[in-house]
Amino acid sequence: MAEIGNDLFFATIRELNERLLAREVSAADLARTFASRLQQLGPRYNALALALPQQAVRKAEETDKEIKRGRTRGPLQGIPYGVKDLISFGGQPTTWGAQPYAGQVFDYDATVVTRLASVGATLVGKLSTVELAGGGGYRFASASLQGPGKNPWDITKWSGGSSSGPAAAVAAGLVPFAIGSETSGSIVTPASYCGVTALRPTYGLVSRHGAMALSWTLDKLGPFARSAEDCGLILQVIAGGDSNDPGSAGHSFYYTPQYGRAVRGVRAGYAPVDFSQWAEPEARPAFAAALDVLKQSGVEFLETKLPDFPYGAVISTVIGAEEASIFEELITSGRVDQLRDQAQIAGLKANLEIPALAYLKAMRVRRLIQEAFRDLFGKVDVLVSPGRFSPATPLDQPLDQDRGSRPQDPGMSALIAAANLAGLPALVLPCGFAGNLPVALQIVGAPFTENMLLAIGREFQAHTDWNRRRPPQT
Amino acid sequence: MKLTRRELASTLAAGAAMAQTPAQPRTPEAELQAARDQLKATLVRLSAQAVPMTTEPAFQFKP
Repeated sequence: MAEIGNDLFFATIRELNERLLAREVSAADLARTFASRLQQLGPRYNALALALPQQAVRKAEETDKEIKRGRTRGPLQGIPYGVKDLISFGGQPTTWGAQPYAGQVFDYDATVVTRLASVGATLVGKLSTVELAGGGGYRFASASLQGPGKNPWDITKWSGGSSSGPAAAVAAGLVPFAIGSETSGSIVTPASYCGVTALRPTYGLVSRHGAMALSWTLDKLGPFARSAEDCGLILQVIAGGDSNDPGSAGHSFYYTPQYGRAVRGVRAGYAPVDFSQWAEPEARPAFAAALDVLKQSGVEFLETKLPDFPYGAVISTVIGAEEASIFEELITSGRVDQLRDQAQIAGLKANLEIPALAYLKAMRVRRLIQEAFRDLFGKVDVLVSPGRFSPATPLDQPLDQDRGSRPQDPGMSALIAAANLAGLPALVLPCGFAGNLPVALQIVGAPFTENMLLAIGREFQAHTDWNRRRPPQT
Repeated sequence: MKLTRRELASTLAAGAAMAQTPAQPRTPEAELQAARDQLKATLVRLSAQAVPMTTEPAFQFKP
């Protein structure tokens, strides 16, 4: 087996692919090495739900034969990856991070897994998730079969959730990329806390077939990776219409950096108060420096307000009603009591009592939110805000702990909820540190503008190296 | 409302006592009640949002 040095654990997809095509390493080498690394180090971060070393090596050996025959399938060929354990891989457990489903096995692959297999990517493991993607409202990071997701930058801190495993595994160089999911914050939060580049696509762009549904009208699958370019390469493979997903938008995505709009002149809406008051003091210098990089790249910043809506009330009603319907049997049978987090158990039970009129009201307000964002994106091209205002929290800190004093101006503090309600894509870009913990920006765009977000991300990462930093002891 | 010095001292002492008392884990019943209370507050906030009569729900949700 070829010697695989530490550099390859933190290589981009293109860097790995170049070595594969140059025959410096084989796909089987990569599969064995990453699967082994994931098995050994994944538990350190509670990131691993299920290792798949044998099937990964079998698949990779087939890939090597193809490469030898000259049949190339693109840059993801032979690249190992992991998926959040709410995405099915046929014949193997898909636990949804939850005790009631610990033995659950599906006999089919999720569409994203099928599509990645078709280009020769190698699935090496299932990665941990907060139980049921945390929709009932969990209070503690320990709300998972694998325990609290630990941050590779400081294992006394949370990796974030609900895509805890994908974020930690990519940050620690256990897999080159991973597929996670977001209903409201579950890609943006762990990517920000772990210092990983990640993309939440436009609602409907990536098929959810084979992924656990938490909220039909809000769930999205998206990549965690080493760079914005990697996210683009992955999205091109996993995006596209799917008749098996009722929410599929029927849009394809082609990663076209060569035709991308120039970053110079992009109008970025932002709220200064986000960076000067909402952001934790230790994080402010990093955010300020990141905005300077974007400004020097020619991005024009315009002070902007979010449309005025009760985003929290709307999104919690939508998620609450939809998840209560999805998990009705779990709740009414009493098996919900097997979940780990008491707040989540109570939230799921209470959500059975959401009146239909309230859900309809929330969905009507949502129509207004969509229209308001359509108007807003006539004035700006993107919205820029911190991914999270503070770095990762201590493992045992209650997640509903009051922040204490809040700035009077809300700024874009509701951006995660607002953007998810409007189905908008977001790119998370690591942009520095607060102490020893990463912080990140989120760049939100209009629907189906992922190429523009990725162009901004590529430009930012051409002038910084935050996305290439490595946690200690990895 | 103007507080007397005695009332102010009493309020501050009560606050200090609360800060020193560790939070007790809630019973499942208390958690459920807290969830219901939170839901009630959410629905009140939602009900305050005006929606034109002609606005349809975002069921055909294609951004």
